[in-house]
Amino acid sequence: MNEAFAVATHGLSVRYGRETALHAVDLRVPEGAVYILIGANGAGKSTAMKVLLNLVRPGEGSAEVFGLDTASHGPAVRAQIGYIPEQHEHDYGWMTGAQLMRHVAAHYPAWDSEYAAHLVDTLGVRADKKASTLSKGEARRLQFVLALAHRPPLLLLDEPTDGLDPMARNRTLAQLAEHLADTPTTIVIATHHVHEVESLADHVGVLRGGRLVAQMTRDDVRTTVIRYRAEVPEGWRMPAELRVASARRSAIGREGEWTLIGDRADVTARLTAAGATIRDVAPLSLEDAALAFLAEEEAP
Amino acid sequence: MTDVTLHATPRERDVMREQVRFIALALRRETLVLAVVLALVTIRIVFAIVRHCAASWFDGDPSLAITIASFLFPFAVWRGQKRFGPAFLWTLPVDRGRLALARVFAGWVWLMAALVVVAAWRWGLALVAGLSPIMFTFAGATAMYLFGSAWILGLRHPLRWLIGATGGFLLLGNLVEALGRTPSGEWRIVTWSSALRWAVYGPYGLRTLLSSHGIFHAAENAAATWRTLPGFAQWITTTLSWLGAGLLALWLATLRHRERRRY
Amino acid sequence: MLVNLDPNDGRPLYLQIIDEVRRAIVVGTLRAEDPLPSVRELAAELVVNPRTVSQAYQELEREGIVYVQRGQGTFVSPAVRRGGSERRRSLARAVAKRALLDARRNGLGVGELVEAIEKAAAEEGEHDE
Repeated sequence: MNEAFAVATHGLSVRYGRETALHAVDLRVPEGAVYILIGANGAGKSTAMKVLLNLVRPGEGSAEVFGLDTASHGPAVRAQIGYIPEQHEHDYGWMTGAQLMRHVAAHYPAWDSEYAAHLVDTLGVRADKKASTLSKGEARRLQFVLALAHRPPLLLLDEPTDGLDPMARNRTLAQLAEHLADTPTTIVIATHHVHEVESLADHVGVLRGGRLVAQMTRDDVRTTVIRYRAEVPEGWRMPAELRVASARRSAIGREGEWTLIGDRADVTARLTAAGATIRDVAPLSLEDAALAFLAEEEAP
Repeated sequence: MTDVTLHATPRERDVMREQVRFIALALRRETLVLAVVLALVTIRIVFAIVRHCAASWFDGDPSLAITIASFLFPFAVWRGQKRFGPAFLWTLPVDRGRLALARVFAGWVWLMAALVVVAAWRWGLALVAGLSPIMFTFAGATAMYLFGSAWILGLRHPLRWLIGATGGFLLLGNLVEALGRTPSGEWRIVTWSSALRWAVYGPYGLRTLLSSHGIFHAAENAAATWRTLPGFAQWITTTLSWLGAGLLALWLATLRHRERRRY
Repeated sequence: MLVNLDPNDGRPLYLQIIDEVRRAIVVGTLRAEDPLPSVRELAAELVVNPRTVSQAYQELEREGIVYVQRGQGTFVSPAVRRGGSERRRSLARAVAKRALLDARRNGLGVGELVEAIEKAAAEEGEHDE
């Protein structure tokens, strides 16, 4: 079955001078998914989003949004996207929130004025203040309104909760959940604060040094990234074929806790066969699982 | 393929209209400054008339001022607008080259409106205060505006280039003065290059474009070189050529912002 | 109905929601014909994907615990009684499973666990309802 993808990149590579921002990335975001793109700062998350908007040209490879090539159908693609960039300062800081909304609305025929008003209300946006006088949190909330009000089929959010205080964060994410309930949307959230968005997510992708080291559904994460606690005999060695994300051994060395990546049944069997007595098998939160992928050492 | 109903891009005329609105909003300060300047000058002239002083200082030729102002006006139009690299402007669902042109168009509308106002004001004063009426060169202003817009859109650091070019020009000017003029009143340095000469003094040159009086009028022996206004055909050809050149320069500048097209 | 989700819990979120609904019914905070929060409301409150809530509600509907009224929302089935034995049994089973997991992690056997439970219950003077 050919699943429809909201976003699909093919061997996407982007270089800034000598720095490689993205290397041979094959993103697959199914339609309707809430996809968290995880990675450290500078891992390439923002660059990936900019390629989709055609703000950055791919060095190699290509990208598609709803089947449209991003480089040759820039305007059509951007009409489907609601974007919140990493920085909160708006280019047109001299405009008030209301003026900005009117300006943006003119470019998106799908703009829903009532919904915009509702969002302004719920998120507590000060529409009469000039954008440059807004605090970081207020500016972010204004960006939310501008991105969501035209109910775009694809939302690209780059660190959306950055700068928001905990209450505002919760309110904003709750609004996002409501938006999801009302509007058929695909959401890609680039963040390294996985914790607060993980209950929204059903897909995850991990970027490490510009490479996509993992891409799977939440359910798959639950069954493949697992923390095993086991008693092991003296001088025990981890079987070489297992992917170890992290390891902890007690001082005497007889008990260990390992985060291993692999099918649960398979890994359990191998561990037991190697002589370990498994005491506990615990799936990880998305945040811990992401850390596991980021911590995993490069295969030799 | 996708089941999603794709949203439409905005219509071209809506984009144009919005850019005109945007410019009107963005240039409120400039509008105010213009209004204040006109008001102040009017007051000054009224004083002069009341005291029966000659307001001759005012009776000059605005062509030079208009030329320079039109060329520099794009700096105001694009003030604070990031043109290179990721900018909010480029995240809009409009082709980037076309969007830049829409902004240029919007600025041009404002410029023409401003010129109309100033021209009307000048004519009004001419009638009331007995000053000689003068012609305003809208085409010249447009051509200069196009070149200025091309300058801003095509260069990442237009101000630096401008300062550099102005510096070079001043240097050249000094050189020119040092070298003097030919008996017929033309700058000697210009006569060295026949191409340059043609561009400035030729039948379709810069001087003809900024017609009626031209920027060189006051600086030369009028009788010797500038007897009459250029013929209509000549002026039209000149105007269209310079406008064409301006549009070409602008189009070339927008190529820097084009999005790749693959059909 | 108060729902708390634990991201560190091994169960998928929709299962956690289902279990919370079952718990509320057994304990009595949710009674027959009580309305459940709408998908939208619950998703916003828990900050979860609305699909997760839908999935939970659909599963509950399939089990006959709730029913959907077109245009009105989701309601607890009239057939549900507080303290229904079937529900109590499955709840007890879930608690037992968690206890066993904990015991195993601490190296304890089933027999040891059962003995300890009975002793602790006797000390606290708990009665079965």
